[in-house]
Amino acid sequence: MSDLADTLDTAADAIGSSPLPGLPGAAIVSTIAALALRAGAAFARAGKDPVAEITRLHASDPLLAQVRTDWDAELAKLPEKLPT
Amino acid sequence: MRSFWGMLVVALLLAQAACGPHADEIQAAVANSVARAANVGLPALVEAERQQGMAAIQASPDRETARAKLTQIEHDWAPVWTAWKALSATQGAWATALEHGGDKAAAALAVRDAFCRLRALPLAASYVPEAAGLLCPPGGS
Repeated sequence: MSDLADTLDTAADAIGSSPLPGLPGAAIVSTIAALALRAGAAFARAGKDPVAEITRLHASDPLLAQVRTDWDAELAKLPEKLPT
Repeated sequence: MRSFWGMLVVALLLAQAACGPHADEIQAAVANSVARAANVGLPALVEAERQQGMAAIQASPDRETARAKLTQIEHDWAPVWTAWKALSATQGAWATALEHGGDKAAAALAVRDAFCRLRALPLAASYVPEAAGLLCPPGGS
């Protein structure tokens, strides 16, 4: 899918940078085609990249460690055990 | 002129390939959706447990009492984090299958089960939203 995104981007560059001369409306059509290709490339990249979100799933460990640190700091404000 | 329309047809075909319902792309989109839904809930889940612990400590007369309450809170939250780790592991396996090949269907089902188990937990359900493209049966996986 990454290859597809790269291919679409390359095609968008080619179409966007070289509209056919002398044809009425060619520049507009080229721009629209280039935009469609760039949208396709963006879609392909977004669909391809679950890894970024999945990597964040592993962020639970440091967050939970921070919770324990916060608890320890709050615990330190208390006496160890009240005298009975 | 002919080459221009030829290029346009190729461009539209390529765009169609990018947006078409290709199986891997659909799986990758759902994988992303599940991970995103879980990640939306993560900060709230962590903060909810943190707040419970802080409230328990502040309501305790001494550390011994507070530690006993914290142990109970950790016990209550343990199923959530066990389910979270299972989801994280199955998502990793799914991403590997999508990127490098493997049994994608089995990996997708494992993610679905893990996500639905997480959402079936009362402590987690209110923080982890539904994932687009994935339906959990009533009562979890």
